Amino acid sequence: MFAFISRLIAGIDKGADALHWLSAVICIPAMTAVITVDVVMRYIFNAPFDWSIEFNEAALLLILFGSLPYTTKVNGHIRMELIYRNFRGTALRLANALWAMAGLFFSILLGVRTVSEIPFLIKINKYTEFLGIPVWALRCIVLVSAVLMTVYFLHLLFFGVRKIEDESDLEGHLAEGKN
Amino acid sequence: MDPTTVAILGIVLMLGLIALGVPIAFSMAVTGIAGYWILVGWKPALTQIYINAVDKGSDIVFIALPLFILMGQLVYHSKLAVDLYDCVQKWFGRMPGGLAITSVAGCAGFGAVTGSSVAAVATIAPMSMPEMRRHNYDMQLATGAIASAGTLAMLIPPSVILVAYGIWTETSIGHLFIAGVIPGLVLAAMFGLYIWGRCIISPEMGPVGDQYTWGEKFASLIKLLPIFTIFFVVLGGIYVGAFTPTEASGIGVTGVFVTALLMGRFTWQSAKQALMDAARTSAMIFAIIVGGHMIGAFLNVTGVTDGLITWIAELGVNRYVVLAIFVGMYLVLGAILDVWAMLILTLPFVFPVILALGFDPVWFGVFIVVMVEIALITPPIGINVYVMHNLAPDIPLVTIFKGVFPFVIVALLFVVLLTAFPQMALFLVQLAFYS
Repeated sequence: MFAFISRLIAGIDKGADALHWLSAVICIPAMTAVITVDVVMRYIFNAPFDWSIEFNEAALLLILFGSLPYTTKVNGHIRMELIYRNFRGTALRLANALWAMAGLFFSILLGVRTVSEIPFLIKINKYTEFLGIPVWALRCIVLVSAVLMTVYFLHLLFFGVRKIEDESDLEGHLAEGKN
Repeated sequence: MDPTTVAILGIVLMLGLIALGVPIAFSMAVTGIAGYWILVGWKPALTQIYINAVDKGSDIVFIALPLFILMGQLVYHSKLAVDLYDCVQKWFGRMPGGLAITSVAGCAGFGAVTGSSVAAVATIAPMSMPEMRRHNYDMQLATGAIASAGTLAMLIPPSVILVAYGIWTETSIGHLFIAGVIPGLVLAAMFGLYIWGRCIISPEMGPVGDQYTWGEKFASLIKLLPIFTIFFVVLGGIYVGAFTPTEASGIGVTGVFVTALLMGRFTWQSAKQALMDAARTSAMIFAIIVGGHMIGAFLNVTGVTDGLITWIAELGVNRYVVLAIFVGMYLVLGAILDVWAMLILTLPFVFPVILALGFDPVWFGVFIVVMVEIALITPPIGINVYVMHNLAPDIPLVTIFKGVFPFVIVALLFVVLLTAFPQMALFLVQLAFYS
């Protein structure tokens, strides 16, 4: 059972990392390029892209929801640590359980609401205006994010906090003198 | 149950969760959802989560946040600020306390292309500390000046905190950026004046630095060109209405990227790290903003915010007394909360009151950033102080905290000036957008 959970979490980690990589390394540069070229096209050729806002909105959704599971995985959500860092033993386990339940409450409800929305969006055949992206596909990103976060919070609830080094956390590293 | 009772119970629950270490985003979101559920119903509560998360997650204004974070990261990794420091040192180094003043000016200049105070300290300290040690500077003054000046990056646009404030309060980010310029420069000048005055009284605290010829001084100005070109394009573009803050963020990132690439200061690894951090930090801020909106929606339904406004109005106290109470509250919160938590947690309560009292939302944006700046250097959290300590581990934390104390007083004096002369923040906004 434990081996199965370890394999499951390893798989989930890969998914969260890949989603984070996609949102950071692909979407952010793409968004930057589209914004810059759009401004240049507007002022030099008087021909801005009709689709730039639509593209950027979709990219932003992917960046934020794509990075949420990774942020959850590396415990990157900010919290008040004044009391928490003094917890030991049962008190620490209870505090972590509370944290997990709060996270589960949010991620499950977000997931449930998104699941109920997707069939409706497919049924009405809704696409974005210029790029023709199916809106349900964009909502699937929200759903995937909610599912991954739910798994992480379940893991937190039953197995406690994992110590994962977040290599990209510049401020954290600087504050701890690692960079 | 009476909505006011639900509101009070909700606030107690939220504060309890935060105190027990539940991430602030989820503490706010859970309280907001639960309260909304109790008062309005299960389905509207679900819809609130969905609308808040998806609408904010694809709000075009939000794009400025990851991109300005990325811009700061790229400036940090490409070490563009090295040239900036070199130039400022040549011009200010010979003044009493000149090297500490150089650190302040360096941080202010760094702030003109990034919004990260931590990165400002981490960039300027390794350059300025060896110089100040070589000239036998008082370490309390030296470390205090760098840790405090790092906060200027938050106020001088582009400021990530101002972007988040603008998103949450639906205040124009362009107006906020323009409003931050003069206050940022005035606060930098006040920090510089304090150092200069202190070193006039006690010259041994900040001996004068090396001498440079006029030729060397003017030659160093050329090195400032890349940073100042990016700053003027980003801010100038917003000022003249050439592009929106969202577009300015894209132009700024491209500008820094191309400049660093041309100067050969980029590696794939540093670019990747900058991108990953920008995405992760944006997701973290996004979660807090969604949580803040959830608690805001809940408080709206309870009517407790309106009740608070009515109560304050009935008290008949001067609006500046209320503002002074908020200053006290932010000083306390700054000692126990991260800056993002402090900002988003208080806005649902404070912002409607501020509007009802007739304060300008743009002015308040600048005001709250100064309060956030103070939080960055006050114990026990004061992240800038910890970063400074890690860059100069032989200087005890207590020494650095003692060193920043006079700068906290200067910043509080600045808050008084900003309140007495709101035009300091609003003048350029009126000139740019309303004249």
